[in-house]
Amino acid sequence: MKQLGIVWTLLLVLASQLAFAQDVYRKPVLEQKGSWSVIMVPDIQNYVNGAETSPSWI
Amino acid sequence: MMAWVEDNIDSLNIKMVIGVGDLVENNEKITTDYDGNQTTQQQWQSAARAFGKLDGKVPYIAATGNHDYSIDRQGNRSSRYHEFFHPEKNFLNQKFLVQNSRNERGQPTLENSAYELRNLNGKDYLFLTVEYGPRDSVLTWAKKVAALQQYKNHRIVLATHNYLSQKDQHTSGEIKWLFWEPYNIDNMIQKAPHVKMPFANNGVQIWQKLVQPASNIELVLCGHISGEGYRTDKNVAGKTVHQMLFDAQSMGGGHRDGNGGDGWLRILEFLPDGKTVKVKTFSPFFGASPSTRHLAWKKDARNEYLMKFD
Repeated sequence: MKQLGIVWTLLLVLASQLAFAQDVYRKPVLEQKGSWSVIMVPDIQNYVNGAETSPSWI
Repeated sequence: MMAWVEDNIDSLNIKMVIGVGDLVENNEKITTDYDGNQTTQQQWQSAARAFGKLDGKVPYIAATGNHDYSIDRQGNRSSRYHEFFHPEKNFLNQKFLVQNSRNERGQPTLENSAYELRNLNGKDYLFLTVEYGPRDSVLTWAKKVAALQQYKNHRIVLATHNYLSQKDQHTSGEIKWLFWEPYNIDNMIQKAPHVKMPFANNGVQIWQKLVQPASNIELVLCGHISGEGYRTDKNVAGKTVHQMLFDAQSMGGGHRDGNGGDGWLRILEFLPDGKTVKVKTFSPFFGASPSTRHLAWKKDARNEYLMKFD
């Protein structure tokens, strides 16, 4: 019974964490209908970790 | 990052993508045993491939930074930029390209060029880029372009590499770049003399010679110095000029030891009122995974704010 309580507690913590993460994250969208956008790409420089070029995120 | 941009062209109604320079680490490297494992050829191919995801889908400017150039002992520059970022690469660039000048070798390239997009919520725009440390002749050319009657009522967005510092000041001092000889001893990159680049201009000079005297340059975007910067000044016509630095390459652990910037980019939303731009800072890299999505936005006042055109 005690173990079941621990499992439920863990599940509740996980669920609240997930809800928090979802709450903080917002998918990029235009805030107003009719807007248009420019994307600014900063220095890429093809450099990462001192030993390898082309970061995975490029 | 570029795949994310490609995926969001429609949803964010992206009309232009602007890279503010330093596409590669080194423009003259043919070995692979130090300072990264790619040659210059491979680095340029990688940058061109990344931007290539946008070819035929959205126009873009890829400005040049100091790392995109090599210099000789006299500080004269050369770059392989035009081999990989040529006018024919993206037919939408070619479609909107309306002006260009020549690089230091006398070649007509996109290093100094302008793109016209008309009727964006009723306003015509000219997107103008000038090379890293633009030469006097380039600033003269850009000033003439901005003053053309046909662009008198356009709003001009200028992209250049070195212009504003993270302390919100126009950059100053002589424009120099490294001349390595030799570059590497026992896998250690050698300290190299900084050579002054003749006729090159810093941020103060770009402001004085080009931006301030133009009545229609209202936004300047730059990189080069790690961090964020923003300032406004009035141009000769009394209009507010918004000037923004964003350079993420040292985020994620530093330039040489980190993750190269963690894919941070900026979304500039031009609102339908034609006056307001909402600036947001986002990382598709962090946004890709549920476990890192809470890190995907920078929400502080230096990274999310409003700009108002006059």
